[in-house]
This record gives sequence, C-alpha cells and structure tokens, in this order.
Amino acid sequence: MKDMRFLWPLLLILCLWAQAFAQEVKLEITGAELIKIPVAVPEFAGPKPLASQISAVVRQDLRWHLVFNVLGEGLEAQETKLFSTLGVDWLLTGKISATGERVAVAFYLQDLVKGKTVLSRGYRGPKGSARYMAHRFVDLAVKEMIGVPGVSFSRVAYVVRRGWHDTLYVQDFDGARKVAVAEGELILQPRLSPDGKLLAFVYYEKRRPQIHVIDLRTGKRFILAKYPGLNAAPVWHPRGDRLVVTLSKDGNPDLYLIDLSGRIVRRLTFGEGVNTGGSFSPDGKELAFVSDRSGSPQIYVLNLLTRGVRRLTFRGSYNVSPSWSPTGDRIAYASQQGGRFAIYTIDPHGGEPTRVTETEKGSFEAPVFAPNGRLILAQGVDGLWLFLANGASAKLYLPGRALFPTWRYLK
Amino acid sequence: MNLSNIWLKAFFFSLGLHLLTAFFLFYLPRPSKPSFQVVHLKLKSVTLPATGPGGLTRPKKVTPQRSKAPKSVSQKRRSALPKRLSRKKTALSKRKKVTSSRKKSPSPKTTKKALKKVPSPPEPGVSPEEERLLAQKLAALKEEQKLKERLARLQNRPKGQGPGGISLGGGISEEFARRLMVHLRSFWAVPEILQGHKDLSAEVQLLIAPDGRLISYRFLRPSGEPLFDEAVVATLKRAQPLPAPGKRLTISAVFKIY
Repeated sequence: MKDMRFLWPLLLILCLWAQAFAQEVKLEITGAELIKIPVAVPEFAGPKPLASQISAVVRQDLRWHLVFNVLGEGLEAQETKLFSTLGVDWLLTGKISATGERVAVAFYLQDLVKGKTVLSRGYRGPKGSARYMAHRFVDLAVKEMIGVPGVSFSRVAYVVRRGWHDTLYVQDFDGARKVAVAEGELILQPRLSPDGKLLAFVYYEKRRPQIHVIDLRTGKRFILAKYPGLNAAPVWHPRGDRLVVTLSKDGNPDLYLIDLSGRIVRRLTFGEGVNTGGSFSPDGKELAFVSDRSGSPQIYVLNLLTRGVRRLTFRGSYNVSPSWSPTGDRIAYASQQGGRFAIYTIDPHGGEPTRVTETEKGSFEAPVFAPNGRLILAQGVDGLWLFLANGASAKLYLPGRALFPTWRYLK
Repeated sequence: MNLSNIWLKAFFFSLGLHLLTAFFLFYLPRPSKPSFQVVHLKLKSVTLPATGPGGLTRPKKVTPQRSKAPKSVSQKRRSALPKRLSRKKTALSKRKKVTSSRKKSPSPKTTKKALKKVPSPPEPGVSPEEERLLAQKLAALKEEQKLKERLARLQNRPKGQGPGGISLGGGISEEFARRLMVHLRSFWAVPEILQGHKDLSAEVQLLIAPDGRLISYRFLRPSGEPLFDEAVVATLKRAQPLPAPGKRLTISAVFKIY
C-alpha cells in the first residue's frame, strides 16, 4: 500500500500541466469616463400643440434628474436607426390622441442596447392631467434606466425672503402649479409630510414663533404648537401622524414628540445643551438631530427605542441640518468651514463623510434628500441648487433668495 | 517477501512511466492543434499557385479527397471556416472561376467534366489576347501570394512568433491583449450616478471572431449593480468591431470604474 506513494509526484505533475493550460489572461479595463445616460425623446405623435408640449415635459423631467443626456428635440420617432448609431442607449416615445376634453397617451421606453421595448403604459384623463401622465411614466422609466424611481411626480416647498417679508411657496418639482400658501414677517423650516399633503412650518406672529400646518388639499391651516418660548424645527415621523419639534417651555431647547393635535407624546432630550432640528430614519426608529452638548453644534443620532444617543460627526466644528436619505443609507448635512457652508453625506453608522459641493462654487446649506435618495436640494446664495447625491453633477434649480427647501413624493 | 516488494516497486515505476508517456502522447499535442487550423492548410493547398498555366496539379490534389467526402461534410467544413478566410476565398474565386467552380461541384463526375473543359493548354503561337490573359493570371497569382503571406502572418501572430512577441497563454499575444485593452478603455463609460463607487467591478468573458466581431459575452462575475453591468454591455456594444485577433478567441476582462 505504501508503495502508492510513487504515484503522488506523478499526479502532481499531471495537475501542474493541466493548470498551465487552464491559465487565462484577464484584461483590466479601468479609468471609466463618467457620462450622462443618453436618452432620446423625439416629438410625440398626435395633435400638434399638445403632443410637443407633453414631449417637452418628458424631456424637462428627465433633465432634472441630472443623470441623463436628453436628445431628440424636433426629431421624429422614425429615426430610431439614427439614434442607435449616435450611441443613444434609450428611446422614449409617445402617442397622443385627444377627443374633446379627454386625452389618451401611450408611452414606450425602448432599450436600444438590448433592442427591445422594456416599458409601455397607457394613460387616460382630462387634458389638464396630461403632464401628470408624463411625470408618472418618466418616474417608471427612470426606475427602468437607473434602478431607482424618478422624482418627477413630487412636490417642493420653500420660503422666498424679500426684506422683512417671507412667502411660503409650494410647487410641483418641475415648477408647475406654483402657489403661495402663507405670508408673514418670518417663516422658517417648512417641512412636507411624508405623503406630501400636509406642510408644517415655523410662523412668527408678533415676533413669537408658532408651528403651523397647512393641509394642501383643502388649504385649511391650523396651529400645531404654541407653547411658551421656542416652537421650532418640525420633523415629520415617517408614519405621518407624529412630529418631533423643538420646545423651550421647560427652560432648555429640547426635542419633544407630539401628535397632530399638538399634544406632547414624549420628551426626547433632557437639557444637555441646545437640541434641535433633525430627520427621521425611513423606518422611524432613529432620529438624527443637532446638539451642542459637546461645545460645538454636531449631528447626533437618537434611538427612540433604547433612547441611546451617539455622536455621528467628528470632522469640523459646525455641522447642522441633517437630512436622512429615504433609502436609509446616507445622512446629508451642512458643515461650516471658514465662513462658508458645504454639503456632506455620511453613513448613518459613522465613517468618513463624502463631500457633495465644492467650496469654490459657493456656500450651500439646509440640504434635503430627494424622495428617491439620489439627489439633494440645498439652499445656495443665489437660489436653490440641485446636486447628485454623490456630487457628480449640480444645477441651479430656482434662482433668487429661496430658503429651506423641502421635498416629498405626491401620493 | 523482499523480492515481491521489489517487483511491486518495479511495477509501479513502469506504470508511472507508461502514464507519463501516454500523457505526452495524447494530452499534450491537442491544444496546439485546433481543428480549424487543419482546414487552413487545406485551403492553402487549394490556392497554391500552379506550376502550369492551367493549374493542372491543383485539382488532382483536391479531387480524391473531394470524392471521398460527401457533400454535406465539405460544406460543414467550409462553414466552420473563420469569416476572414471565406471572404478572401470569394475574392479569389471571382478572379479564378476555375477553382471556385470546382469547389462548388458536389460530385466527382462534374469535377471530371470541369477538368476536361477548363484547362485549355496554351497554343504554340501566342496571340496578344493570350498574352493579356497570361498577364492577368500572373497578376492574380501575385495577389494570391500577397494574401497568402498576410494569412501566414496573421496565423503566426497569435502563436507568439509575430512582432508583438510574448504569448500570454491561451493563444493570446501580449500585443493583441494590449490593443484590445486600449480599445475597450477608450469606450469604457459609466453613468455619473455611479461616481464614487470604488468597489464596483465585473468580470466578463468575451468570445471574439477572427475579424474582431464580438460573437458573445458572458458575465463570469457580475458587479451586483445592474446599472454598472448595463454600462459594461453598452460599452461592449459601442466598442465593436474589436481589434481583429486573426482567430477565434476567448478572453476575459475585468471592468472597474477607477
């Protein structure tokens, strides 16, 4: 039996030979060019003014996502071959038929790389709703193209300041249906509810802060909190039936959980420095907030179940305005450096922050995540700016003295 | 006892030697002799320049084999040829109808007929017409020679004897690997939304035709991020045609953003 040892070196040699032949070359392809995804949206087929209006809405919606290179203006859908040779990856087409005040739109999304139609949807409704059909389809198409749904069918609110006069505006993400919902001497921190139907904000009446809520469906407005002292920084719970607010009725600005009738459910912090602002994690179990308990304003995370608090930011001496991504994976915040603010994102479990804005391009604060977690809207010196959450791209969203953006899906 | 032990040792030793010999005989020669290269040689013999003006020697070589092989087999072989070769073949056959008609003829009977018909021996008195034909034929032969040389070069390169030098195994020369890498890199693009994802990478196996056409690809290891994998596919599509390897080739590539 032990003479079998003779065979082992032989087997080894055999194995080595086989190995030598199985060896393969691997090319390493690196240094990718970072591009915008080329999408062609030719003119839609159908009655002229409406068809070109709707295709223009689709193009604008796609452009606002900052990741697409949108082509096809003034071109016909038949030129598919041309698009393919131009290196276009996706083709979005549409057909419109209108009868009286009713309109029906059929949308198609073609993957030109794979050469097949991956998405087709039909919508029907009154003429005025045609642009919402476009929004809805674009959001589906964006999900198909980048893996996360689009944000066309969403709503933005912000404050415009002119001297000592503030106006609170609400508009669709693409800028349509802009409505002034409140005016006053000072309006701060408007926050849309998770379903986009209610708007909470800090309203100063006779120099005293209150927290008001407007129901955007009915226009009805009510006072949510009017406690003595400070009433500030409303933060919606993801369930939409509770808010966290900053009150100083007990002496120190602390965080309180209140319900929609303004009743205090629970006190969350107990007088360790100033505690304010914040943003809930998507599951509602944790709250990111700002506290100066360590001597400078920093972001902390409070676990509502265990009531444990951990410090999240350690870089820089002034970190404020946390906004938790709806996808849960990042928290955006503003960090002051040398008189200017810059937007950063950080993992909710800690780690190295990633910079989103460049200091040379200006000062940006009050960041808010897009409802799909891929974009960030922030307040710049010259207006509201839109950023890709990884900082790859930026675009001026709204020029002027606009402050405190908030952004939610329309549901 | 001792004696039998020695015998046992001897037996195993001889068994080992036999195995080694068998291995060298049957296993080693295989990878260096792909089946299609055999076909290359046959084709070369078909297009070899003939000694006489009628090219009588060539058909003789071809016919016995043709008569042995049934039509279906010969056709299968031809279709199995790489595209580059078949294209050249048609280019040749346009010039030299003789050979092509012979090749197409399925049965030995028609071949004989063609044999009888075509090779008209040159007449003693050379007319200007004849001279022109001869010159044409000569030019065609020269052209053939050139093509043959190029073919030989193309065949040599992947084996590692070409100017690009070192073979990397799997029949891929270093020069070709570099060219393919540079080519793919020049088309490699990912959406901006993936900026900062340093850990993304995908491994793809490419099957490349001799003329650089991408026959197929297969993800050996996808990145897990659909957008990234789609970017790889889009890059492969845009990058076509790839540099021509001169033979059918399987190669794998790892794609990374940074």
